[in-house]
Amino acid sequence: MPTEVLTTPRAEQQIGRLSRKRSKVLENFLNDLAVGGCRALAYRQRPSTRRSCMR
Amino acid sequence: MTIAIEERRVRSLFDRVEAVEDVARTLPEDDERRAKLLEVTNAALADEGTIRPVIAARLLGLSEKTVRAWAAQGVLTVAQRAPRLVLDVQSVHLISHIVRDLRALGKDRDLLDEVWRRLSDAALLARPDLLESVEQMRRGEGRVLRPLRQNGAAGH
Repeated sequence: MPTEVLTTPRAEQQIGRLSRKRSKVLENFLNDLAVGGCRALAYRQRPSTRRSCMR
Repeated sequence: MTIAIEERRVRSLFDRVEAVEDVARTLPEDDERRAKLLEVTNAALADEGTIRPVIAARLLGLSEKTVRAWAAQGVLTVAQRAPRLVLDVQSVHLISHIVRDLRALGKDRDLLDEVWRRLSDAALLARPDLLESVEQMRRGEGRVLRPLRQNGAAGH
């Protein structure tokens, strides 16, 4: 299910510290998440927090 | 001590701990009384210390073989491996909550995977960085990285 992907200031701090290689991995994950939602990469949506996905 | 007597004693301990935990959960998360009650339950479990796999199996409603497998996989905390395997009581108590919840939801198959996911979720949700991010999201401080596209393609 297509999903809107958001970030937070705290997450952006952490993303900003990633190496180029890890940033690329994250970009790919975000793309999969936007297209497939939590089912991308075998995650599932957490019922209690509408916008979080958990393994 | 026979298995039946030990099982009865630990089951009674779990019942008392859960009665106190039930009261604690009626209090707000930031209430000091809640924290104190939970400290009491943790101390009671810590006093018990360890538990044999056969007793843990009876309390969890699993086979002893399964309990030993879960201990080997790190789902149940091993207190001592030799000369005989004994498990940490607090760990068995935590898992008993999870197993009971899962069974109440009818999830009796692939129980190990489900328990493992619950433990992973709990560990992740306790991380301060994630809690901070969730709070920021709740305050509406989230920024869109990939907008929702109706045709299923992400915009980036």
